[in-house]
Amino acid sequence: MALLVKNLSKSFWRRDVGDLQVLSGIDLEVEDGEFVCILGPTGCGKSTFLNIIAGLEQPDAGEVWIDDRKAQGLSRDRMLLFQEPSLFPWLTVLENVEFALKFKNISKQEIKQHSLEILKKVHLGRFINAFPHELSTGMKQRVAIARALVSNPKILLMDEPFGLVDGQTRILLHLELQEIWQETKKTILFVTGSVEEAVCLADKLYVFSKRPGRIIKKYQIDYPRPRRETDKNLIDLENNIMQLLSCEIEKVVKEEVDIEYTISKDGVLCPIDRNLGSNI
Amino acid sequence: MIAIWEVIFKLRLFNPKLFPSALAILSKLWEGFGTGLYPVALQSSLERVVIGYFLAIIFGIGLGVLMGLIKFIDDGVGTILLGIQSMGHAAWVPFAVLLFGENELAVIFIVQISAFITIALNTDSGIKFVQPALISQAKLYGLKGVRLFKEVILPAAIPSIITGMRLGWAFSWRGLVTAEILVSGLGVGHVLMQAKEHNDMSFVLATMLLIAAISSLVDNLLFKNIERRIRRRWGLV
Repeated sequence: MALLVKNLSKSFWRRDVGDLQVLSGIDLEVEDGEFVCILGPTGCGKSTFLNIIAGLEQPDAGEVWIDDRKAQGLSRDRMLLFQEPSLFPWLTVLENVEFALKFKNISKQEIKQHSLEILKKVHLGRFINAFPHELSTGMKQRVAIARALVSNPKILLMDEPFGLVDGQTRILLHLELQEIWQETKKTILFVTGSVEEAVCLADKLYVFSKRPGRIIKKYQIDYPRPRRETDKNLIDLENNIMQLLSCEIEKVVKEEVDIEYTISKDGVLCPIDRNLGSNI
Repeated sequence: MIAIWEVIFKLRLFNPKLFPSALAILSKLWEGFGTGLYPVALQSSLERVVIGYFLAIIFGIGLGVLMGLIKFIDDGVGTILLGIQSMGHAAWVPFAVLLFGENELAVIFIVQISAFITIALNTDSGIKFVQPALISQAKLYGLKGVRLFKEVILPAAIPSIITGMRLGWAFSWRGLVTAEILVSGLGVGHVLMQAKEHNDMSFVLATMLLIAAISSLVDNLLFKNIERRIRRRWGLV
């Protein structure tokens, strides 16, 4: 078992509301080499969940086990990718990737060789001397993926990594990520708010509720790969999940917008003075 | 500029004694260099401003780093610095003279104090506003303490520090002129006072022109370039 989470809970103290329960009683299993997605509405604590698994934050209760050993603090066998690529702007693409290995006992030459190899894998071989601000968001995120892979972690934790990327590029990155995953056999835990993305990528999909985040459903998705977001096979499943989520999203919106708010089922906008069939 | 000035002069709108011709100013400038008055004054002024400025960089960046990293220093010192900043450089003259006497040291002290606050405040904000994601990223690699500071926080703050240093350069000239006028010693501020004693407006204007030119020359040749290059590399342009 690559990752096992038992009964994990977390709350934050906030000035306006006091104790805010963010995660409650999460149980989750990830097998070796599995691609697992966590899907949930905004503010369901999915990022917090990843931060805890990465070791950047401590849970209030519950345990995280990695490879049948209890995880403590940060470790290089778990690498976290943020929504924003968070590259170091003063370093070139190559130097950014090398940074991940800089503080290990590896010779400079080896570091460079590893980094170049990985950069080729994410198709950035031509851009090794560019600075991050010269790249598009999609390319930056590729550098971030390369940087995460270069230290050869067991588990890749990805926090909505393609959230800021435009639609076309995202489709491409989905294919590439699946390719990289199949090639490197990494275990991936991928957090997203997009149903299409989750269904497209996951072997196993956990749906989180709104805050406090709980797991409300688990899906096993066995369609062949590589998948595209537009695969017809996936659409039924997407609709299914969408319905499950829409109740949760409604709750979030009600909380945020603070008035009566309902998402109408199959809503159609039309002028009220319209005769039946007058638009045909 | 010179042409407009000359036209206004020719129109005789103002008393020519108080509004001398541009050519008169330029010839005074020439004369000042010819007699060796300006070179000597500039040399001693530059010495003071450079020493004071370097001290300001050392103290300013040092204090700014401490403020950026340690919250209670920031809370305490930050307010005081803003207060001092609003006081102006001249307010330090009595303090400096009583402390050092009417000499070189007092002038250098005033130059230093004029420049160092801006440098400290800019360094402080540069360090405080490093993107949290960059720090989280570095922590994933196990960086902390001095290494985290050296490898991530300091480089991330560099653009802000450079801006502070550039402003500090301008402020140190302000401090210099104030100090030389009010304290004494041979220098451009002193020459300015001499010109006033002689009741010679073109001499006064020529000296002011010289001071502004030297300060902005260094700014343009040195700081502007460095700042532009760094901002470009950091992707801030």
